[in-house]
Amino acid sequence: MANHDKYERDCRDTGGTPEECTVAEPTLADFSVDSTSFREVVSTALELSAVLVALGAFMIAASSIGAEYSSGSIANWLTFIPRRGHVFWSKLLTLIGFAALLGAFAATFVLAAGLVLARLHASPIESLRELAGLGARSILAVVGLAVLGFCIALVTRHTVGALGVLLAYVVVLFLRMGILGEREWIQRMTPWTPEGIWPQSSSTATRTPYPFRR
Amino acid sequence: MTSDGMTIELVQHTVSFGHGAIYWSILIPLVVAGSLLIFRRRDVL
Repeated sequence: MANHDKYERDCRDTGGTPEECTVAEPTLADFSVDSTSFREVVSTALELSAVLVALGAFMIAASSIGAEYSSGSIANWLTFIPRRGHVFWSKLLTLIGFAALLGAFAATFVLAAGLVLARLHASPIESLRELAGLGARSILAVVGLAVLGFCIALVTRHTVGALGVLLAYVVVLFLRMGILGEREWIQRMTPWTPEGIWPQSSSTATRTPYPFRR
Repeated sequence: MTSDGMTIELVQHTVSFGHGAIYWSILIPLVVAGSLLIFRRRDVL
C-alpha cells in the first residue's frame, strides 16, 4: 500500500495506459483460498481416520495373540480349556467387539469434531446422514483389518509375522502401482485388490479412480 | 480426444459398494476358517 501511488505513477510515466496502471485495492478474498464444504472436509477426515484406526486395530489384534504365543499363555489357556474352537472364537469375538468400539469411537469423535469446527466457523452443516453412514461403514473396515491381523499373527505365531505380511503387501503395492503400473493386466487387477476395494467398503464414494490406459 | 481437444490417457472406472462388500465377505471368512483350521490342528508350542 505504501508504494502503490509510486508504482502507478511510474507505470504512467513509462507509457502505460490507465487500465494497465490502475490496480484495484485488494480485498480479503484475494488472499484466501476457496472455502471447502463441511461434507468434503468431514468425509476426508473420516476416510483418513478409518485408515489410521484400522491399521492401529490390525497392530493391536496381531500383538494380542502374538503376545500369547511368545509368553506361552496360549498353552496355559488350552490347559484349562482344551477346546480350541471355543478359545479361538472367544478371542476373536472379543477382538471384534473391541475393534467395533474403537472404530465407533473414532468415527464419532471425528464427526463431532467436524460439527464443532463447523459451528465455530459458521459453516453450513450438510449431508449429516450420509456422513454418519460413512462413519458406520468405516467401523466395518476397522473390524475387518483387526480380524486379518489376528488371523495372520495366529497362523505365523508372531506379531512380527503379521507386520511382515503387511510390509510385504506394501512392497507388492508399490511394485504394482509404480514399476508395473503401466501394464494393462496389472490395471485390470485393480478392482480385485484390497486397496482398490477399500474405498468402496468404507466410503460413500461411488467411483474408485484408477488408471486404465485406453 | 474430447470436444475441448484434450487427449485422455486415464479413464476412471467404477467399483460398486456391493462389489466391495462381497469381496470382503468372502475373503475374511476364508481367512478366519483357514486360521481356525490351523489353530485346531497344529501344536501351539
